[in-house]
Order: sequence, then C-alpha cells, then structure tokens
Amino acid sequence: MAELFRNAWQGWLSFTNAGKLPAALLVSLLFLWIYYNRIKQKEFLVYTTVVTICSVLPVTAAVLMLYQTRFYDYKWIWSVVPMTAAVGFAVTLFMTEFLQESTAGDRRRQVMTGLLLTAGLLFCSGIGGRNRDGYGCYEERRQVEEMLAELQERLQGKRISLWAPREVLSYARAYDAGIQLLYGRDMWDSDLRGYSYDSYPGGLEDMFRWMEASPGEEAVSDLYCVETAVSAEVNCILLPEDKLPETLDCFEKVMGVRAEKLGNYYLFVK
Amino acid sequence: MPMEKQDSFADIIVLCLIMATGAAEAAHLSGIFFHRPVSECTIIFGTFTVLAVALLLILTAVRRHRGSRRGECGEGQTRFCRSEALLLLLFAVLAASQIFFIFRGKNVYLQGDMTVETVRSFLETDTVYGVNPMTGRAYEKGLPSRIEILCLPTLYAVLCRIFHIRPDVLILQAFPVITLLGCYGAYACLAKGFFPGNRRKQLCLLVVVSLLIWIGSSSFGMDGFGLLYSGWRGVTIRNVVLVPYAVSLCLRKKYIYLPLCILAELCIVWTLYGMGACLAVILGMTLASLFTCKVRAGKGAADGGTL
Repeated sequence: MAELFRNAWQGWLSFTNAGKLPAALLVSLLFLWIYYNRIKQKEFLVYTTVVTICSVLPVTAAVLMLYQTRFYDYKWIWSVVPMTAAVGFAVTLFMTEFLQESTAGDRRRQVMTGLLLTAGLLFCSGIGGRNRDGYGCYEERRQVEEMLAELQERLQGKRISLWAPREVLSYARAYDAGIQLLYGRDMWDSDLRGYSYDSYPGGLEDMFRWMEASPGEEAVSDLYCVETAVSAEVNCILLPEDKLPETLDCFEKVMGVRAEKLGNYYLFVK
Repeated sequence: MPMEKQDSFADIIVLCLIMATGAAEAAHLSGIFFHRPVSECTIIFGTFTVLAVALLLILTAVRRHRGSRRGECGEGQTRFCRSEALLLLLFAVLAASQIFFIFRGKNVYLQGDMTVETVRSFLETDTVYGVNPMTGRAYEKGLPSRIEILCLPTLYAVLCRIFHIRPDVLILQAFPVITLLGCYGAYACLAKGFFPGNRRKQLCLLVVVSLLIWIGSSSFGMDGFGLLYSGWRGVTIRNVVLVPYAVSLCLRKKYIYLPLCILAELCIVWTLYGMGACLAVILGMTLASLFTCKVRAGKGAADGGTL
C-alpha cells in the first residue's frame, strides 16, 4: 500500500514535469469558478474540479489507481478528468465572452490578447523535449525491414526462426509474423508482460544479456548460447559486427556454417 | 436555447465508431470462444456492421423526421457569417495538419504496445490468439482472460482483410485518422452541450481543442500525444472519443446512448470488471448534476423566502 501511495505522489510529479497542461487546467478551473454564476453547465465544472482534486491528492489518487486496475499506471487515472474539454471550455468562454465585454469592441486589444493567450498555451507544451523512447525510431525500423527483406530473399521462402540483437527483434514480428523469435520485445519492454502469463526461462534472459553485452563482457559462454539457440530450433542468428573473432569461430563450428555479412551484422543460417 | 434532441452528423460519426466496435467484439468473441478463423470473423464483422449502421441511420432518419414535424430545426441550416467561416477555416487547417502528421507514419509510439504484431499473427495463422504475438510460438500458459476479450486486434485484422491494407499501414497511419475524426465528432457534440445554439462559440471551442491537441502532443499521457502518436490504442480511443462523448451526452441529456459508451470501453480497454472511465465519468456527472440542482433549489427556496 505504501508503494501505491508513493507511486500516486511520484506520478503527479512526473505527470507535471513533461508539459504544463495540468497547470493550464488548474488556471482554467480557477477562471471558471470566478465565472461560476454565468456558467450554465455547473455540473461539468463541479465534476471536473472534484476529479482533478482526487487525481492530485495521493490517497484519492491511489483509490483511482486501484479502480482503473493495476494494469495501468498513474497517468491513466487522468482519463476520468476531461482536461482538454475543461481548458477548451474556459478558453472559449474567455475569448468569446470575457474578452468581448472587457475590451468593449476594441479589435486590436482583442487580437493581442488572443495571441498572448495562444502563446501562453503553447508554452504549456513540452515542445522540443522529445524523448527517444517515444518516437524517432522510424529510420531504425525502415533499416531493419530492408535487412529482413534481404534475409528472406537469401532464404528463399524457408521458415525463419531468428535470434538477433534487440534492435532487430523489435521490428521483426511487426514486419512479418511468419518469423519466429527466440524471445520477443516483452523481454525488455516490461509494459508488454501483462499481455501474457508466459515468462522466459532464466537461460533465455542470460542469452538476451549476452547478445546485448559489449564484446568480452558477456556473463555466459559463447558455446552455451549457441547450443541453447540450436536446441531451441533457431535456424538464423544475427550477431553484431563488433563480436570477437573467437565468438564467430565458436558459432561457425556449432552451426556448421560460415558467417556471412548482412548489413552491420554477421549472419549464420542453418 | 433548448438542446437539440436529434442526432447530428457528429453524433453519427461517433456512434458509427461505437457500432463498429460492437460488431468487432461479436466477431472477436466468435473467434476466441468458438475458434472461428479470421476469414469467418470478417464475414461476421461485415454483417453486424451493416446491420448496426443501417439501424442507426433508420433511427436517425425517423428522429429527424419527427423533429421536423415538431418544427425543430438543426443548427447547420443557416448560413455561416464571416467570423464563423474564419473559425471553420482555422479549424480545418489545424485538423488537416494533424491528419498529415499522422499519415506520414513517422511518428508512432510503440513502447508497451504490440498491436501490429498481434494483427500480423492473426492474419498469418488465420486464428485469434493462435500464437504468442511476441515470438510466433505457441502460448505456454496462455493470456489473461480480460485481455482475451479486447476486440481491437480483431477489428484491425478484419479491416486489413476487407480493404487489403498492410497491418502496419492500417494501424499506424489509417486508423489514427479515424480516431481523430471520432475525436472531433465527440468534441463537436461537447461543443453543442456547452454552447447550445451558438455556432460561433462551438467552432471556437473546436479551434481551441485542435490547438490543445497539438500542445498535448509533446507529453506522454495527454490526449494530443495519444491521438498523434498512438491513435490505434484502446486507451486513446477511450480518452479522446468515448469520454468526451459521454460528457456531451450527460450535458445534452441524451441518456439513451450512455450505456453504449460504457460497453464500447469494456470492449477495448482493460477495466475493473466493466467499471471503466466512462462509467466513472457518467456517475460523477450525474452526482454533480444532482448536487448543483440541490444547490439551485436551495438557493431558489432561500430567495423565495426572503421575497
């Protein structure tokens, strides 16, 4: 329970860190309460205010987190807060009623205020603060898809059971569901683990760490990895080009094939 | 100005989306529980969709006919003034820029999502959850039953079958545009609830909402981010279409469609045994409505007492 409360509070802090729309919501609610008597949709204002407070206070936020199920984390409790609607409602009222009346038809002042308000809203966004996890992987996806197309061409319709570095496996099944993987994205993307009761045995986790480790820093032996892969009926292995020559030798011996170059990787096809 | 009781074009857009979700759920359940292949699910989906949309259009036509006999006229029957035309143009430009942004397909948020893999697996094996979408191998322990009944992967799979589109194109580029249209349909309904009979304010709200969607696009968890980077996800559809639409229905007192919002959310998002955000919003709005009515009544009585 203590962890739930901590998550609820830390969630609010990180929620307001990326952008300032929650702050815009609070200002909007303040404006709407000042104009309470002129607002006909009072139930909307009361509801939005109550759920906003409930989403910020750790105790009520924890209750909301339990209500939405543990499958989702803190930020999703804000689904019950009509944030865009409330901010939009307040800005529209400000622009079409408050501003019209207070400037008494002075168009220049109205336009200037409108522009300042738009600028203020734009500052609520985190423009420029892009994170790599969210997007920017388009080029990487295209490159992997091109490489997989070349791989399929080389194998000429043969079934592919693949073990490769993370960046390749990330897009392999989205490119072609005929490709089988030793482990999928749920190995490193914890959000995906809730979609299945299956879990990977410790041996596969070791192989994942081996594949992602820098040369010479692997925790398990090359021989163990390649033998486990072969016993799991993997017929296609891609190794990063910086793997050591002795690793390549070991793979060639166990698989009984020569390593070929494919993009930035060494390819072993059985 | 009294609320319009007839279904507007915006209502029809959102309701069509909800009906399609219902049809997809029927197809999905037949796939998962009766082990029907995806090809058969496509026929079930098509049949249910045609029936549901036909029923919706007939109901709308009947309501419009009754409304016109009673003398109710829609808001779109008068000509646009200059400021309204300007607002409409501004809204169109902002919405078109968002459609363009989505259509480029370069901006997608894939972390924690496996929809493309799931749909590809459905189409590849012609079964619903026949293999683990992450590896392509058979499930060892299976998947949670609550996940099993979520119908969006089947919806995308049957749409891919019907329109012969690649799953990644449909999911990452085409469907988010439909979600965007549904979002603006829901906000147009909300605008009618906020400003009944005032088209200029309704258009102004739509312009502000489209601006807020751009603003929210840089922060994960905001409506704008969901719409522009992951418009195919159930949580996004719930947050930008179903929740605003449920609020608009509460404001316009069109209670008949509220259960549809709750059911649609149940079909696309993992909820607490059906108690999702839509139900919470509807209950919250109802309680707030009762509270404000009581306050108003109390005030009225006090005013009456002093007079």
